[in-house]
Parts: sequence; C-alpha cells; structure tokens
Amino acid sequence: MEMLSLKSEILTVRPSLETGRVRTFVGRYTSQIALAPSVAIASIFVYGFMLWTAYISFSASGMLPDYHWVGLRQYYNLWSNPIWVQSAKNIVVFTFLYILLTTVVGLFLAILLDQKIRAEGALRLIYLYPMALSFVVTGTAWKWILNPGLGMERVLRNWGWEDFRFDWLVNPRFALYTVVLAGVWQASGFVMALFLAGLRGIDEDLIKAARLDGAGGPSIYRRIIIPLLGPTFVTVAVVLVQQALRTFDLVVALTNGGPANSTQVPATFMYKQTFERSQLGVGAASAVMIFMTILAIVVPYLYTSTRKASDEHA
Amino acid sequence: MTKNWQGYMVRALLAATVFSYAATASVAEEKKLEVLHFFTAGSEAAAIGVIKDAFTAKGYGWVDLPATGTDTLNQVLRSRVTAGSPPNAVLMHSNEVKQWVDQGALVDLSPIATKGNWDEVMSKGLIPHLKLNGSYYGVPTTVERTNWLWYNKKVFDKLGLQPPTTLDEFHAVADKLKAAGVIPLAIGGVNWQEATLFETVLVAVGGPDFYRKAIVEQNEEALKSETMIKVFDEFRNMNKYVDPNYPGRDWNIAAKMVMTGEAGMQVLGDYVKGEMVLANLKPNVDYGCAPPPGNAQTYLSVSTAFVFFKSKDASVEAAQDALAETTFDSTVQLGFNLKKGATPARTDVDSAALDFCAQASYKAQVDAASHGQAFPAISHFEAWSPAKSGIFMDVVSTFFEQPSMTSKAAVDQLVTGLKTISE
Repeated sequence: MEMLSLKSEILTVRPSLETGRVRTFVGRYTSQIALAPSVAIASIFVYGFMLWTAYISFSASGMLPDYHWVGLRQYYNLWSNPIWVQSAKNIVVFTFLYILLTTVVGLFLAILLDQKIRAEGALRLIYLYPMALSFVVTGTAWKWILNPGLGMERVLRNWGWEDFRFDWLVNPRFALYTVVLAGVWQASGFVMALFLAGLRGIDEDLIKAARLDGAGGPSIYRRIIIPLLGPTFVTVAVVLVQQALRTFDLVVALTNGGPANSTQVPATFMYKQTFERSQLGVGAASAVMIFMTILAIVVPYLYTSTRKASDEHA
Repeated sequence: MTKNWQGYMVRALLAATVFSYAATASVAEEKKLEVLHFFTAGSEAAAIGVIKDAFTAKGYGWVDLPATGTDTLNQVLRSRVTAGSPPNAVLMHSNEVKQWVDQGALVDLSPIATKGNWDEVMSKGLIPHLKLNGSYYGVPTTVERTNWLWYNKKVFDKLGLQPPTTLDEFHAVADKLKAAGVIPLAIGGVNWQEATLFETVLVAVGGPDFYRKAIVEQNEEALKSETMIKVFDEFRNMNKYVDPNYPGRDWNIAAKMVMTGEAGMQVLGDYVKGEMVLANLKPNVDYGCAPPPGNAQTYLSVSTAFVFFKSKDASVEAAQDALAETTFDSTVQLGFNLKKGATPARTDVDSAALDFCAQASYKAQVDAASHGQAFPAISHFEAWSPAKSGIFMDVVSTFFEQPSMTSKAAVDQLVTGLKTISE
C-alpha cells in the first residue's frame, strides 16, 4: 500500500517537471547533469588516488599508510635499489625495440596485404588474432615455446639439428629480448590494421601520377606513400608507448622478472614492493616515476594536437 | 498484472533486507568469527578443516574467508584494517605478527597462554615471534622444516650412493649422478627456492653460530665477513649441478624431476613430501629424506600462526579465546599436521602417528632446540621482515642466475640494500 502512494507521488511530480522552471534547468544542463556522476567518480577514484599515491611517496609508509612526511627518502631508497635501476634501463630498451619492431613488422605486413591479394580478409584475421589474446596467454605460450627443454630448441634437436641453440629465455643477457619478441608478436597485427586503414585512405590519383612520372614500386612507397602515413605513425607511437611503459602481465607470465632479475620492469617492481614486501612508500615512489615518464611523453603530444586543433578552428 | 509483480518484488526485497539484518543479529548471538587464511590447496584446506570442525563443535560459528595466497591475504587484511573493520582471526607467517603488534592491533593471548603453559610446550623457535613484550599475540598451527634433502632412493640405490652429510660428500655424490646422466640437483630459478638452498650452504660453511650471528642477529660485521664471501663461493659451485632450464620452474615441477629419477636430489622444505604422497610414493622405498650436507644438527623453520584482531564488539573476544585454545590443542595440532604433512608446533605431541619423514622432522626439531640450533629460516620470510627478506632473496637469486656476478659484489649489494630499509 505504501508503495502505491509513493508511486502516485512520482506521477504527480512529473507534470510539474514538464511545465515548471525545473524543466528549463534540466533542459539547459542535460549534458552536465548526465556527466556529473562520472566526473565525480573519476575525480575521486582516479585523480584523488593519484594525489594520494603522490603523497604516500613522500611519507614514511611501510606496511600501512603512515602520513609522516619524510621528503625524498623513498625516492633515494628507490634509486639506490639495483633492481629498480635495472628495471628503468630495461623499460627504455624494451620500449624502443617494441615500438620500432612492431611498427616495422606492422607496416611491412600492411604493405604486403595492400597488394590486392586473394583472401585478404582471412589473412587479415589471422594477423589480427594475437591481439584478441590477453598478455597472460601470450606470455605463457611463448614461455613454453622458448623454454629450451620444452619448446623450439628441443623440437629442432629432435629433428636432427643437434647443436641448435636458442636459450634466450634462460640467459640473463638476452631474456629481455624474448619479452620484446612476444610483445611484437602480439601487437604487430593491430599496428598492421592501423597502417592498412591509412594505406586505403591514400588518394589513388597521387600514385597514378607518380607512375606516370616513371616511379617504380619501392620508390612510390618510400617517397610518397610512407610520408603520407605520417598521422598513422603518430597514432601507432602513442598507442604503443603507453602500452610499453605499463607492461606488467606479459613479463609476469613470460619470465616473472627473471632470470637474475634481468627482465624486471617498473610495473613489476612496483607491485613487488607494494604488495609482497610491505614497502608502500617505495612502491608509491616508483609509481610516481612511471607516471612522470608517461606524462613527459603524452603532454607534448596533447599540447601539439590541441594547438593544431585550435589552429584549424581559427 | 505488472503492478502485482512489482509489488511482490518490493516485498521480497524488503523481506530479504529484514532477514539479512536478522542474520547479522544472530551472528552476534552465536559468536561467529570471520577467519581470513591462505590455506586453499587440497592438503591445506583439509588441514584447516580440522581446526574449523573442532571449533564449531564447541558451538561457535566460523565464517570462512579464504585468500589465494599471502599476497592476496595481505591486500585484503590491509584494506580492512585501514577501513576499521579487520577480520576477527587471521592466519599469517609467524614473523609477520610483530608488525601488527607494533600497530597495537592484536588481542593479547597471555591468559590462555598461561593456562595452557605455552612457555613450556611451544616449539622454542617460534616463541620469539609470538611472545612480544612479554605477552603472546599469536597461536601457531604448524611448524615446518625448510632444510631437507630429498633424494630418489631408487636412483641412489642403483648407483650405490648414500645421502651426503658434508659438502665434500655432496660434490662426490653429485659428480657420480652427473656421470650417470642424472641431473644432480633439481631446483627452480625462483628466489625463495634458491634462498632455501643458500641457507643450507650458509649453515654448512659457516656453522650454526654464524647463522645465528649473520641471520638471526643481523650482525653487519658477520654479513660482510670473509665467511659470507665463502658461502657465496660455495653457493656458486651449485650452479654446476643444475640443468640449464631451471629459471622460473615451480618447486613442484622440480619435485617431480626427483620422483621420476630425471634428477637425483632437491633441497627444500617439508611440503615436498605432500607431492610425494600425492604421487603414491613411499618414504625409504621410492624417495628418501635426510638433512642437507652440514645441516644434521640444525633445524630451520617456517611456521604459521593465527592472530586475533581487536574488535569493537566485546562478545567476540570469548570466541577468539576459544579459537586460540582449540588451535593449540594437542589433538587438533596432530590432526592438522597429519593433513598438512608438517609437524605440530608443540613439543609434547605423540609423534607415532606421523610418517617417517615427519617423525624425523619432529625429532630434529626437539633435538635442535635442545642444543640451541633451531632457527627461523630466512628463505620463507621467517627470519627477517618481508622488506629485508626481499633484499636478501633478490641478491641470492640474482647471484645464482648471473654467473658473472662475484661473491664480493653480492655481499656488497646485500649490505647496502639492507641499509635502505629502516625499521
């Protein structure tokens, strides 16, 4: 019974909404009202906790948050940890190789697929498929493939190539490159799709004109098509950079940071310090370092792209 | 029709809410405890069931909060403590108890400890972790020996080998295994497994007194002494006996290598036996257990204990006391450890029911305690805090997996690393 009266109340409110001042207010600010909850949630749970993490990195926090200010001590501890230094070096090498190789492989595949070949759809699907897998699956599969006693090395030896050696996964000097290899395998198909879209967007007339001027295949690509793909390169780079810098699951599944901590990256380091070792302060300091790095790359990009946009409007 | 349906829904929801309030109310009446633990694997879950059954038989309620590992458990625990509603009972490694005592978060168990004479009957190695500032704050469920040598008995018999008792004998045995085409030592390149091997080498090279000084007392002079460099040198020799594919291998895979005879020996804790039992292998027929070379008199332990968080609800305290008493009861200790494959954390239990290796482990614990050689293991976060153990394991693991690293560099890295941790 109570419910029914409540319902009739709602029904009586509605007509007044449609006629009164409330309606004009709602009408004018519909988008703001609709966005308000998500803005509020994002500002607390994303930006609020970002600030909180930054504060923790200057505090004495160990196992639990402890708000005593200790200045840069956690950053000092962070940079005097040889594994953090190794992680920082690794992420530079990894990001560089990952972006370079993924772009080269992706572009090459896109150009090959762009030759108006038969069964293009099926081939495209095959190349895109790795992207549908999670990094954990990729990491585990490659862990088995690359393990010398289990995968490729053993198979080739059993086939009779007795002195075949491919032990990068267990060799501290080369293990990082196996992470690059698995990452490139995963992302190349996606990059190929981006480039393919870019290639399809190029005006055919330009290419025809170049042909008339006597340019051959390779030089058309080198001089005309690839320069025209400029915006696609930027997109690819931005997508891959942020993917590379927060690499975590791939490393955990493939090498778990080993052998000899040669494949630790900042994200795995941060997780370990914060959750396994009760070093919340050091963990937060490393998180801030990762954030700063991403900021250093993304801010110039945002700056140039927004300026370009406002230039176009002007 | 629709209207009616909505009405039912509303009534059902209301009813559900009322019932759930009633349920919370009856929690207080029945004195239920929320128990957060990480014993989820087959044998472990069966073991925790022994405590649970004994506790609920006394008329208390048990709300099970299993976490899939200590990492998850710590995440849950920290966020609930920060939110001001910690679980009533939490299982943790004994050496983690101190950090919560320092926070003033735990219930003092001294009255029960005095009643149960814990000072006399508890395994000596555990008391420093659980009795802090003169009061008991944790009740142990189990104690396990980490320094064991497991070997494939059939392979050893075929080659006429005996488990080595000194490092020299170890080298001789390992060389013979290698010559026979068997991997001498099964290990996984995972930091705590390497640290387990390392601590046995440390005892073998430096002796128990050095272990006490360097590890238990964390004496910096000992940690950077010539002896420590010798320990690393000897640890480097172990590289020769390991197959090249060990990085990242799980410990149970390494145990399987010993079971199948692909490898001859493995140095790891009591829990390896759980794998042997699962595979229906018999002690002294299929596999053997012996102290690692140079470790005969020394017992390195890892243990877990229940602690009880202070609650605003005073009625919970009686239930917490009851759970503490139940956990340390001799019958429950024996039942729990039969399932877990480990040994009871008290010294007055009739060990006849335990299997061969567990009996040997139980006896070694009592003997080692009597001549002051029962120590907490550093490999299992038992001797040092998680932060310091982490530094130690990073150095040991990096050293073992990076053949170009010198013993001196490892010692330097260990000493400077420990200085960054302020506790």
